[in-house]
Amino acid sequence: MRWNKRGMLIETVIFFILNIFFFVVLTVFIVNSSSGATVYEQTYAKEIALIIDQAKENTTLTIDFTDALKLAQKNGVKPEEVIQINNLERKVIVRLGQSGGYSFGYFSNYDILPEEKSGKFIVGNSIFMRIKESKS
Amino acid sequence: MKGKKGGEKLISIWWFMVLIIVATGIVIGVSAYYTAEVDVKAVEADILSEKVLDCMSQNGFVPEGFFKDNFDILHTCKLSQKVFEAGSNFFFRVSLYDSNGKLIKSSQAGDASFEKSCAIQKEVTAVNFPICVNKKESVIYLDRGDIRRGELQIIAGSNQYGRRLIASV
Repeated sequence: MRWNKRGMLIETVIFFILNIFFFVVLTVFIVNSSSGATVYEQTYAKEIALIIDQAKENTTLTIDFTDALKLAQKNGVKPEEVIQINNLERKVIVRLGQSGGYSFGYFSNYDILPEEKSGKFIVGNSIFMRIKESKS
Repeated sequence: MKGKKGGEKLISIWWFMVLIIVATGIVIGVSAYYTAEVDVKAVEADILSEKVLDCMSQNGFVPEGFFKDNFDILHTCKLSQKVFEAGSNFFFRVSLYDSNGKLIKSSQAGDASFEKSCAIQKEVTAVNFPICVNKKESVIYLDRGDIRRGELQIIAGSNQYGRRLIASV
């Protein structure tokens, strides 16, 4: 009888520990998924491509990128690797995690150039883009 | 555990099965939600139609070059030749009608099949079909030196999906 009671206690404790472990693992998975790079890569790539298409030539765009840069830093991505513009393919590539990133196209005949002084798209906490009409 | 009935057991194969079913459901649901495509086709089609309308109606006037045979609409509207090549994810058609509704001239670029697909899309909801935007604007154009009123109709569509890239090793 004594063994039975002790056994039940152990079983109940294990049951609760396993339940808590299960919910912790699930919560960690959900939090990681919701704050993960995949969602933001897609959103930022599409937003930037749409902004480029809406812009007029010979303009300069500055977009605050603080949150994305924080995420990239957390995931070990260098600021200069966060955004790439392929002027030949007319594509914007955003990379905030260890995956290859997300690519989205724009249809305007523009060459997107980085800031003249630094030659980079990321200046401080912002994206800096000069929009020029392409000669090709 | 000895002497216990099956129903009294807390940790049992059924409990593990319930956990597995719940976990699988949550993992599938969360993954499906966060890997889902953000659909911006309607926004893109709208931007494209605005861009074309902007260059085809300059202060309400249709550019004279539109009536020439060698008129390059992509160059005039500052749109990429490469993006609108065969197999494009975009399409647009500009049609100029006179005041009686007679077609004067039409010009298009991109994947022409979008027009039919968009007509189907109006009737039935189809997931991977392009989304089109239709716009009309009253314009003035020159016809052999005479100023005439007409209507510019623009149909623009997009079927662009982004691409997740695989990390290079």
